[in-house]
Amino acid sequence: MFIQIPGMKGDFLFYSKQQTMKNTIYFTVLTCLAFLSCQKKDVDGFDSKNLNITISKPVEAQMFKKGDTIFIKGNIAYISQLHGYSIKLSNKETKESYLDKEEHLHDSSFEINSFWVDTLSKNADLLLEITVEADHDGHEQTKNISLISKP
Amino acid sequence: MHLFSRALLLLAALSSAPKADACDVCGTSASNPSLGLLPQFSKNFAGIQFQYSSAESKHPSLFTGKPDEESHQTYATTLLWGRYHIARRFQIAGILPYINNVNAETAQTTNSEGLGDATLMVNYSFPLKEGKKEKQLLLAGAGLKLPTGKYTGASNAERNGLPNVQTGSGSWDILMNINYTCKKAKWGYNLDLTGILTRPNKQQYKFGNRLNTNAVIFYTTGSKSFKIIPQAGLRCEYALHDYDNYSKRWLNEKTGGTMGFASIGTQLLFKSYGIKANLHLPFYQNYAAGYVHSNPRYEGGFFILF
Repeated sequence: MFIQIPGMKGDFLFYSKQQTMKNTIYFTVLTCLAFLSCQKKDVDGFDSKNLNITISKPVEAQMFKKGDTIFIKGNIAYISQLHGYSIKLSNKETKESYLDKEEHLHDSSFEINSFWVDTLSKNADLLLEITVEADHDGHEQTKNISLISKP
Repeated sequence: MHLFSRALLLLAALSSAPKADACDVCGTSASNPSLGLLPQFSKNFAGIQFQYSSAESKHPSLFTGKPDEESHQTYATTLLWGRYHIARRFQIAGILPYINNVNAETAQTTNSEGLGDATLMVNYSFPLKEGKKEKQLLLAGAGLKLPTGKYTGASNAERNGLPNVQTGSGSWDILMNINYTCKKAKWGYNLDLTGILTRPNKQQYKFGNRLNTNAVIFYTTGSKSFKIIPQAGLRCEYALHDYDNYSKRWLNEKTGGTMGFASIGTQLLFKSYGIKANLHLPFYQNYAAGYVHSNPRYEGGFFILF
C-alpha cells in the first residue's frame, strides 16, 4: 500500500522523492519479513515409532471378580506435543461400555492413573483401550489389553 | 491516530480471541478491531472506546466417535486511550483496555473479565510538503504491549480459560506501524500497515505475529465547529500460527489465518468533542484452519481533543 506514496504529489521536504520511495519500500518489506517469517516446528508430521504407551496395570489377561477395583496405570511419551488420551473399558462381545474417560492435555508425556470397580454379575471378556491423540488431524495410537471378569 | 488503532489491535489481538473447546482449534479471529480514522492530528486527545465482536467455531472432536465441538465467543472491550505530543513531531499514545470475554460451549461457559494488556507507542510524523488543496501525513511508530492483563496458562485450557479468551497474553510484544493519510478538499484516504511481533510468555505460549492493513476513504462535511466524516474501507488481518510451547517449537497449526473486512463508519465532531461509530463486516475468512467464523464487529467511542 505504501508503495503508492512516492507516486503522489508532495514529497518529503527533507528527502528526495527517490530516497523517500526507497525508505518506504525498505521499511515495508522489512516489516513484513520480520513479522511474517517462516515458523519452525519441532517435528513434521506424526512419527508413530516414537510414541510409546506403557501400561503397568492391569496386565494382559488379568482376571477380576465382582467388587474388585481395576487400577489403570501407565505412561505415555512422545518426542513432541501430544493432545490427549482416552481410556475405554468395554465388553468385547456386547460392546457395552463400562468406562469412557477422556483427557485433553498438552504435553509430551502423560501419567495415566484411573480405576474402575467391577460390578459385573456375569462372566465377561473385557477390552481396555488406551488411545493417544497426537494431533487434531486424526493421528492416534491405541494400546489394547484384554481382561476377564468372573464374578 | 491510526497508529493507535494498530496498537489497539495488537492489544486486542493478544488479549482476546476466539477459541474452541478443544483448545487447539482457535484463533484471534474476533480480535483486532480498529479504532478507525481519527482527525486533528495536531491535537492531543483522550477518549473511551467500546468494541464488541463475536465468533463461532465448530470442529471435529479430538476423540474419535465423539460429536463435533461447538463454541461461541463474545468479546466486549472498553478502552481508555489517548495521544499526547511530547515534541513537534513526536507523540506518545497509550491504550488501557478492560475486557469481558465469554466462551460458551456445550458443557460450560467461561467468563474472562478484567484489565487487559496496556499498550504504549511512540509515533513520529515525517515532514511532508503540503499544498493548498492537498494535505498529507505520514506517521511511523513503534511501541510495546505490556502484560498487564491476566493470563492463566494454556495447559489447563478447558478449565481455566482458553488462551485467546483470556484478558491478557502474558507477553511483552512489539508493535510497528506506518500510516499515511492524504486529504484533498473534502475527500481523503488513509493507508495503514501494522505489524505485531509477539514474544512467548512465561508459560511459553506464543501468539502468532500479526500483520494488519487498512485502507479507508473518508469525506468531510459540515461547518468549522461541527463536522461529519463518513468513511468506508477495507481491512485485512493476517496472523501466523500460535505456539503452544515456543521453547519446544510446538506449533499450533489450528490457529492463525487471514480475514478480510469491509468497514463503514462515521465521526461527528463538535468543537473539541467527537463521537464515532464503525461497523466491520467480514467478507473473507480463512482462520483457525477454517473452523472459526467471525461475525461483524461493532465499535463506538467518544473523545475529547485538547
